[in-house]
Amino acid sequence: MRSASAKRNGLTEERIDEGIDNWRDSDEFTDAEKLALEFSELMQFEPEKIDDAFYARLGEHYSTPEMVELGVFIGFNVGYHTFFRTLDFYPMFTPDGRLVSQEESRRIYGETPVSHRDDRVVRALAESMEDVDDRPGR
Amino acid sequence: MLEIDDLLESELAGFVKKCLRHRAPDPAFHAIQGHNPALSKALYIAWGTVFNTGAIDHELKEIIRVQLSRAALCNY
Amino acid sequence: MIDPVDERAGAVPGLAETERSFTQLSGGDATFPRILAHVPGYAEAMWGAMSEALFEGAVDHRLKEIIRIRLARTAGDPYFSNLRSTSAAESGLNEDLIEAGCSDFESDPRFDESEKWALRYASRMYADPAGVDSVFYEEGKRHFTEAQIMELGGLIALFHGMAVFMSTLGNGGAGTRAVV
Repeated sequence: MRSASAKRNGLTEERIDEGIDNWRDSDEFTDAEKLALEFSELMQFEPEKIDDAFYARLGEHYSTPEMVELGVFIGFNVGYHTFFRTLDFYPMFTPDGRLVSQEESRRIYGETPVSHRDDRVVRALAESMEDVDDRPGR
Repeated sequence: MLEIDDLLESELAGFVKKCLRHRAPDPAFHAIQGHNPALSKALYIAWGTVFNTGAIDHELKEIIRVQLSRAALCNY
Repeated sequence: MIDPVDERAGAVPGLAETERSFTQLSGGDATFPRILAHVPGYAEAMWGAMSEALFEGAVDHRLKEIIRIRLARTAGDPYFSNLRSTSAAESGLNEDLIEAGCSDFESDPRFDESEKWALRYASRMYADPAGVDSVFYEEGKRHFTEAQIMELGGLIALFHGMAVFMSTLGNGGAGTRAVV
């Protein structure tokens, strides 16, 4: 699943991947953005390391309301993604906006979440579109 | 998981119609939680608030959201 | 460190009502909604979902309260760990049973098989999510309807996430721990 409004505002899959896989060394993110990404990783994996000193660093770039906004957003996601993982369900829309069955969605997106630029996803999506084009009457 | 047709007959119909019209957000959120319409509605409002409102750049939140979903092995 | 908003509740739209609702859990402490109140609408929206999950629905509220406390302790959050639901206490939930549910519930005869499954659900979700699989859910369906399972799952997800966030504010800080 991807945010349609983020996409419309120019967020690309490349930038998403860069933000997940390479934010520490990347030139594409500001220090403030990198700190937000660090906050997120820590909350997921090592929340005990988010202490007064970390909040002081965060406070150099973000106001109190912004820190609360990030903290609550990240906390919500930390709680929900693990729960959703256990339910083993998939988006109903393909990356190109078609409504598909859970079986088809699993075939497109794969058994584990990866970048939409991943060769496997690109191939599966192309095959899925061919199947649509091959349907009788099209 | 509920079917789209079931959702369109439920209290969540308004949300789901919007999902289908705009192709976003993905309606699987309602399909998986729609057994409890009141809770699903409250969760959707909470999610919409923390994801779509506030001062933090939405694109940054989207990167964080995808980061956390991959870390948790969430396919949705 | 993040302190609760330093305003009278009435000055922040929606906060007074959220705080009133929150007293079902806090008996008067308003730290959590007042921290979220730094961002317009956040306290109302988040507590709206959390209270719906905790106080409404078909699953026994006392069971959900034990689960909530267990999650807070696992997350290392002293704040939500120390809060107590007034209605759960009035329905007979005492500290002894809470302790039992937060420790070795599997061998405790005070919990029936359905309650043990629900407590297992909460304890495994973040400690061993791979263990919460289709087999686990099939076992759950012997005790609960799909709607009840989703009610439990939603509760667990919301309260775990907020407990983790609150735990980061409690690390060596003051002003964010509940006064019990």
